[in-house]
Formats: sequence, structure tokens, C-alpha cells
Amino acid sequence: MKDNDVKNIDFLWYLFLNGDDKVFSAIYHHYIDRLLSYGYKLCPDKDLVHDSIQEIFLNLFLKRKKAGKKIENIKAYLFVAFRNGLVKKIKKQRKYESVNLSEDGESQYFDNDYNIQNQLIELEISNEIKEKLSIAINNLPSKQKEIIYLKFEEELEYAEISAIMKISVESSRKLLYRALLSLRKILDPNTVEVLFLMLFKKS
Amino acid sequence: MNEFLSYFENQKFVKWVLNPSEDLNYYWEEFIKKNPEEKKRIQQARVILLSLKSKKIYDSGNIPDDLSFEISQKIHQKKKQSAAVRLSFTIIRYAAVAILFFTLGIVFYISQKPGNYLESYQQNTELQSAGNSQLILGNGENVQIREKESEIVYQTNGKIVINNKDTVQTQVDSSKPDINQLIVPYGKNASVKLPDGSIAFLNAGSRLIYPSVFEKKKREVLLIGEGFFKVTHNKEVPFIVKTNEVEVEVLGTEFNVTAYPSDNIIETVLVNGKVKVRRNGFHLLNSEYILEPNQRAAFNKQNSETKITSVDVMNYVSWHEGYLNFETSDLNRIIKKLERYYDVRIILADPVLGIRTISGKLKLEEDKESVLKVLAKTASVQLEKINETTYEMK
Repeated sequence: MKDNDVKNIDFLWYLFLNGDDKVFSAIYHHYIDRLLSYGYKLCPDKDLVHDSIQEIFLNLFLKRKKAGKKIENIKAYLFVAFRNGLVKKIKKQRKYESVNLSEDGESQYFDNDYNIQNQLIELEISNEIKEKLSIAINNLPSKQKEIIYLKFEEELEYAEISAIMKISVESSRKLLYRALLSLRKILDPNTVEVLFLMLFKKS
Repeated sequence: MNEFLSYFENQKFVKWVLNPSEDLNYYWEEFIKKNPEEKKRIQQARVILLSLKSKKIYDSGNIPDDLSFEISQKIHQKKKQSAAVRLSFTIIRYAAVAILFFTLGIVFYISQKPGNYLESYQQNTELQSAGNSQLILGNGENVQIREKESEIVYQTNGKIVINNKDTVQTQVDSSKPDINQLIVPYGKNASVKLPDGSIAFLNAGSRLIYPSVFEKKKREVLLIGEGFFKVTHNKEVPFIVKTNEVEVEVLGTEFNVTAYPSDNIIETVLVNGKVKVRRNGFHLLNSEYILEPNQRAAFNKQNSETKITSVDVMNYVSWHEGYLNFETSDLNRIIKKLERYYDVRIILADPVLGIRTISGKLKLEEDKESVLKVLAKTASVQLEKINETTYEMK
């Protein structure tokens, strides 16, 4: 399903670059829910998120001739432009509000809602483990949560993620691996035996 | 790379965990049998992967539509702004000649603003996507029409009948009429019998904005896209079809107007009767063109020139009767019409094919593929289907 998606969108993008305005709406509707979803995780202020959305689509529409030659990957472009725009707005707003630097002033906030209980419900893992895992995931540093979201939810490549988060490809790999390994620690070797029995029951 | 981590980079593994299937189950069962030492890693990776998929279904509600409306408003504003800038350069050139011209320039600019109540209801036309035809009433009520071809009739008592079955009620007091908007997306067609008995046929990708009851001095409608009009005769009350740049005034007659925003040419073709074609608003050197039957006026948006030619009207109006007529028409033109009518994309493998000329009659069947096959055969090209909405010709 993903491959078809990509082909269709790339084609729509090609049509748009060649002057077909009506296709713009299709591109917008294809990405809007995911961009909003991503945006709300980056920033709890919905108005800021909505402003950013308007900005990027407006720019995309108006500057298609200039932008067109450089944009090969419309999805990545949208995510990069969106995050850039949103982070700029967030930083600007922070300047005007009484700055609370108790939270690491530099790093970008990212909050995802993980319902571990639900996700693992069929696996009959002990609640204790589920709790521990849940706490561990929710306590991951924002950057790690963000990369997990981009890699597993949005299925983006490392090259794309590195452009979006403004880190090197190597760094993004390391970031993801660090997160995965820290979660693995929670899974005690003993409990894993219990998991084995349940492994093939779920189909 | 660590073996545990490598599972996360393995597409087959990720797919199996998140979207198990018989094949994948079988594959991984076998894999574990052959590599029992991997069992633990696989279990751990699986648990973690499952935990990391958060609630996927995100319901943004009305927000996407609200935002898209705001975006389209802003695009519209920007376009107006840049148009105004172009306008002012023209004015400056004339100002050097005489103060008279400068004054006219101001009047010129002011008249660009929509003072007309119809225009103020015109929503931005850029974002038009496929879907149902919609009839939007003055009170905001939005009637969705699913049928590919639809017929709407306005009765004198204010009742609107849709496709001979559904009815909606609207205002008939001419001092404060309801403004209605009929939106026909690509792939659909509609006809509306207006309050005065005139009929407007709307082709795919078009909109008509009109009052539920016409005013006493004129019958004015706003058209975006393509419409064929059969206007009831009334010498005292002229019928005016306004498009973004050009307006067509008639007394009682049959004619076709093509004014798609993405086209460069706005054309008016007269079947019978008499019409006057002129540019919207006040323009320096504004001319009015009177068309005789079988004449076509083509207004070029780029250079603002109007050309009048004699034509075989069937080549232009037959769409409203369900077929297309061509006489040495180039393939590009035909493709564009079919793309709108069926809401498909037709790509030409070689752009040169587009200038091939074709003559003939094409019935606009329900089945778009059979129509495209006929066209392909006539044009001596091969038709290839890429997916439900995309075809290629080579």
C-alpha cells in the first residue's frame, strides 16, 4: 500500500508542478491529518500548529515554480518545512513568555500518547512488565520519542529523518538504537520465557 | 550492527509484527525453528515494536477543511494583490500622457473590488476536488448530489426539485434573494432550471452562483468553468453570464461559455439569438462584441485580446447532449475535455502526440474506458491503463 501511495502522490506532485491547480487539494488532503498529528505532538498550542500548516501550504502553492525544481520528495519536504516553521514559531513565542528554563531550554518537546496496555493486550505479558515498559517509553527523551514516531509511524527513511530533525544520518541511527536498547533492558530475561509460549497463539 | 537491532531494520520482520499474515507467520516460524538462538531477540524486538505503535487513528474533525478554506482565501488574496500590482504599472504608463488617464486609472482600480453581491459569494475556485455535486443554499444548507448527471429545477413557489425526487425550499422574495451555488466537480455533470425558466447545463469542474429569484432589472449569474445556456426570452430583463474576466449579455438565446480558471482562453459560442460579450468592470478601451449565431468569441487572458471567428457550433456545445464533436481538433484539447468530464488523468508518452488532429464524434458513455479506447483508435495511439484514474497514450 505504501508503494502505491508514493507513486500516486509523486504523480500528483508532478501534475501540480505543471500547472494543475486542482491537484493541490488532493495533495493537501493526503498529508493534512498526519501533519496535524505530528504537529500536535511537537507543540500543545494548536493555534501555532495551524498557523504553520497554513504557512507551508501557502508557500508551496505560491512558490511552486521556484520550489519545484528542488523538491523531489514531497512528503519529506512537507515534514521538513513544517517542523522548521513550527519550531521557529515556538522559539519566538518562548521569547515573549516568561521563560521557564527548568526544562532543558534547547531541546524540542515531543509528546506521544502510548497505550501500552492496549497494544500488548493479546500477548498476556505480566502487568508489571507492561507498566515498566510504559513508564520507560513515556520517559524517553523527546528526541528519541520523536525519532521513534518518524521511523515507525511515518515510516520515514534515515536520510529523510535526518533532514527533518536536523541531525546527521549517523546521529539519527544512534538515537534510535539508544532508545531501542534502553527499552530492551526492561524486558528481563526471565519474563521473556513466558512470552515465548504466547508467541504463536496470536495470528 | 547488533543482531537485536537489525530486526527493526528488517522490513519483513516489521511487517510480520504489525501486519501478520499466513505467509509471514509461516516464514518466521520456520526461521525460529532453524535459528533457535534468535528466539529471545525476536520476542523482545516484537514486544518493543508493538509497544511503539501509538494510537494511529487520528480524527482531525473539521480542522482540515477549516484550514484549507483559510489557505485558499489567502491564495486568492495574494493573487489579487499581484494582479493589482500589475494593474498599477499599466496606470503609471498612461499617467505620463494626461491627468485624464490618471483619473481613469483610479476608477479602474476601484471597479476591481467586488461590489456585486454575487461576486462576494464567490469562494476561491482553486481547490476543487472530486466528490459529489453540491447545491449550497443561501442559508448555508449544503445538498449533496451523488448522481453523475443531475437535474435541478427551480419552481416559481420557491421549491427546488433535485433529480425528480428530492425537494428543498428556498426564498422567493426578490428584494432579498437567496444566493445559491451549484458545484459540479470533475467527473460529474448537472443542469439547473433557473427561476426564470432558463436552463444552465454545467460541465465537469464548474460552478454556477445565482440568486433563487432574479432581480427586476437583470438576470445575473456567475459562472466558473463551462456552461451551456438556454435563456428564456425577455427583452426588458437581460440575462448576464459573468465569468472572472468576461461577461456575456443576452436577451433570449442559446450559447456556450467556457471559462475554466486554469485555461488561458475564455470562449463564448453562440448557437442562436444574439449576445454581447464584454470585459468585466470598467476598462480603458473596453469593447463590446456582438455575436451572431455560429460565431465564437475567444478572449485571451494573457494579452487581453478578443478574436471572433465563425465556427461549427456542434464542435463546442454538443457536450450538453452527451457527445463531443470534433473537426480537426488537436488531441490535447480533446484529452483536456475528457479529463474533466471523467475526472481522470491522461498522460501522453510523447508530447508530440498531442498536436495530432482528429475529426469525429465521440459519445460520452458511462464507461470511460470504452470512450478512451475509441479515441485512442481514432488517434492511432495505444491506450494503457495505469490505475483507476490514470491512463497513458503512446
